[in-house]
Amino acid sequence: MAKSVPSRVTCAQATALLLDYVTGTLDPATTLVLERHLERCDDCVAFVQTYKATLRATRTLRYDDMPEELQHRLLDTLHAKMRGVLPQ
Amino acid sequence: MMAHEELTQSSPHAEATEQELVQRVQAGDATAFDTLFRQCCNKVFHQATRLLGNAAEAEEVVQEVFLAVYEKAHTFRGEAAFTTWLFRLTANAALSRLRRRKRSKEVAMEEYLPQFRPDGHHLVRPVVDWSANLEERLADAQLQQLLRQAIELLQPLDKAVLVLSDFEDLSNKEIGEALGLTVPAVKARLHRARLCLRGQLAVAFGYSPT
Repeated sequence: MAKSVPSRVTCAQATALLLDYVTGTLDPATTLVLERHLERCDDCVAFVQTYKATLRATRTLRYDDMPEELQHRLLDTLHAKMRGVLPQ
Repeated sequence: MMAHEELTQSSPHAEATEQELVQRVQAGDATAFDTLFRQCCNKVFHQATRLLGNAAEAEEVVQEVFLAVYEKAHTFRGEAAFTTWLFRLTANAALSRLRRRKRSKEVAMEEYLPQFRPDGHHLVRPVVDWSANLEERLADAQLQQLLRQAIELLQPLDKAVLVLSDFEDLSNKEIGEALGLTVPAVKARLHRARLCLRGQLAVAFGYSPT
């Protein structure tokens, strides 16, 4: 059975749709309703912009690699442990 | 087992894919394990650091995960990418540590979620668009530290979902399989985690999270 799509959404309902909206996986009919809401709601436009910017910022976070020396040390420890463990 | 000095770019496994390497580990090729470790240890280390928030525990997880790779190589069927399997092992090793931690750091995440009036409008209006401010400061070390701390404050399972989705690019289905969640549950947790991060950034910029 086809899902019924409301003709309009509130800000609360619009916010709940953002996960699928920003990844482009929201169905076309609901996307249309959401975009109509965004055309007349500056608050939700600001919310969407900051939601998307948060996602972009998260994705840019970089973490340090393991230092070479640490990789060697861990591999040594693993070798020692593996001597007592046969792969099944 | 191969000595470290021999693990150079000229290694016979240097060009092998992770999938091929794990198959060789399955067949008892001990040197393939070393190559696999060198190729993948940073993926595990990064993911564990994101989840646990500190390098010392992340090192322990790397060790635990690669020992599990060695012991459980026979269970890897190759239907999913090796990396997905590795991320699953890492997420679960880190999650069990997070769950053992004292909850002293846990804060009320609800404070950072958007709130609405009974008629469905945002509770605090106008909602301010601070996205340009955030974009300008992306390279700022202070902002990066703020984001790391914001991630650190998420509930363990929400954090695991966020890390697997937004850092490791796993699909919602893969995340669900890795963490034992349904796809709707993955989506609910991912959305809540992103809203919490957004709310924490809003507060850091001096605005309401709502």
